[in-house]
Amino acid sequence: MPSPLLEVKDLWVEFTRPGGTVYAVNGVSFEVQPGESLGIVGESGSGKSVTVLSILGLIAKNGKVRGQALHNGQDLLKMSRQELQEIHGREVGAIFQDPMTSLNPIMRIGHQITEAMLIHELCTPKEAKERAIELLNRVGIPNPAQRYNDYPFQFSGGMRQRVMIAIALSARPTLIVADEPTTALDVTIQAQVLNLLDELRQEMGMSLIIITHDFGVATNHCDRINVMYAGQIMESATVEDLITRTANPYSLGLLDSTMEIGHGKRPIHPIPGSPPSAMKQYAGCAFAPRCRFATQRCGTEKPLLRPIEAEHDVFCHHAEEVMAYGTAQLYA
Amino acid sequence: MVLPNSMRNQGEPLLKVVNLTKTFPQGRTAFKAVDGASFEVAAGETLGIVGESGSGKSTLARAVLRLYEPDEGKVYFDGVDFTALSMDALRAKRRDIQMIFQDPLASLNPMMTVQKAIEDPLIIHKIGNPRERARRVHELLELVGLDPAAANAFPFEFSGGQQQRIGIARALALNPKLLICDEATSALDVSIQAQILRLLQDLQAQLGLAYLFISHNLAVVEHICDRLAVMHHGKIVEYGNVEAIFSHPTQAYTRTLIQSVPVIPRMGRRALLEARFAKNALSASSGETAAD
Repeated sequence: MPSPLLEVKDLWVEFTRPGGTVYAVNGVSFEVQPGESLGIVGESGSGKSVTVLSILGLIAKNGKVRGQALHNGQDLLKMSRQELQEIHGREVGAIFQDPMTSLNPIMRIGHQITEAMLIHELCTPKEAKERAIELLNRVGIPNPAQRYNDYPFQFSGGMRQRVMIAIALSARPTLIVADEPTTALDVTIQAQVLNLLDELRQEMGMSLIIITHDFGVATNHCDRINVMYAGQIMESATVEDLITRTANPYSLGLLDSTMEIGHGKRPIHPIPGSPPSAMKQYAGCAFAPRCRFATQRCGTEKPLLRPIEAEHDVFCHHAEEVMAYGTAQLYA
Repeated sequence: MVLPNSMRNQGEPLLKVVNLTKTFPQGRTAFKAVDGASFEVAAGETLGIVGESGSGKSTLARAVLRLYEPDEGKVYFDGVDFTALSMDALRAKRRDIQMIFQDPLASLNPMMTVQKAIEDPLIIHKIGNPRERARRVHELLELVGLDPAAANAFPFEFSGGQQQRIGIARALALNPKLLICDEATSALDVSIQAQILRLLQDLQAQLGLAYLFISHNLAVVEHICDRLAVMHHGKIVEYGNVEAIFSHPTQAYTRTLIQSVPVIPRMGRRALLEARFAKNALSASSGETAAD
């Protein structure tokens, strides 16, 4: 197996606030292989964004980070701000949910696209402009040479997200991090943007991390998925295994809660209860209070993320039982 | 205008909207947000209205209630022509239609306790004494799956899903016949969205409510609606039975909308790859345009 592009080991993130401590990420380990598309799926507060933002050094000052994040053998968490800046844009590109607030409103988009190339001194200004126009064309913006001089407000939401993608790609990074990249977009535009990301990833051989709450997005655009809950990885599997051999009760409940097309009007079976408080530390499994498979053990003893089969890790004492139940239900 | 009773009894729909149009001034010209929309909602059924942002679906809902004064068209509710009523008469009649919104926190008064928020409509319509109203609030909180002790708390103390439950309790206080849900679950997390949709389904079965369910999410709409109206640029471009529309959309726009929804491939790898291949072939052949 080739060495991973990114290797996160036992990552913990907590935020100190006047009201107490927020335990956002509680011991997360995962890898991203070269050329792979990894989905991190979870609901708000599950720690999916904080996991990735902390690796990039982009969390607020009151955040404390422990663990390792090895990128080409170097630990990103030990890097100074200056060293990280060498990585940002050049090695890792980022795309966020709201393209309007991520773009500089008073800077022409052409300058925003060339910025990373010029900061990293990858080419001359003339070459940067040529590449920017080429990128605008590639992400599907009509009349790229003219649009090069436009401001963000002159673009629609979907077009702005395309500009964001062009910026993220400009310095040819090996990894793109996309945090809810299409959540703010209409469904037809969402499909276009995600398909574009797929194509570009394959064309340029990049790795991609998509952070999303939407199983539909993750299962269609990722190779592997980590399901997160309460700052932990509940299940990590290939898309196929996660769907057909689900072994964690929360993954199963979330899949059941995801509305899908093609099933007609039917009753919905939600997960009971509310998401856990991040201000609390759990002795056992944080999902136990909402879990129909939970036993006494789950309340007192924290499970480990353990392999249940090849390339399939599960955080649950009752994973075997859950998988048997889920597969029976699927093929019923 | 009141329709003759004979008409009302013979399956007259609960809500009948005819050729509704709402225009907003835009510089020197006018922007038609809703353009000649006609539809019906029968008692106890759910009509979905889907469309992308700016398609006019929320304006349509507001024009039905005359929160925006429509330029043209008629709205009959329970046989009464809403568009012909005086404001006072409209207010009295409008208690039978209630609305829930996308952002539950923004739609609840932050200074009002849950008790006050839910009993407010009863006070406005001068219903019951304080003790009766307190009992009704207790009943409503239980109905929407909240602890009645919640009555003394303020909205910010609750999670998003619980806040939406409070919004629903308030909307149900006056025993409405029709509930307009304007993106009522769009701001909620996946598991909480499922809970609120289940609650709406249960309430409909229990109370015989009709829903006008506005959403951009086709999968959600398919789960809970009987019939569907698809909006595009202010017009209803497709209207009919949900199953029929999803299996045989007649409009290219509806087809695009349906195909854009990511489907979870719940089968083996082979089928998964085939599904992806088919999808790529589809987007290649339709010559997907970047214009939006």
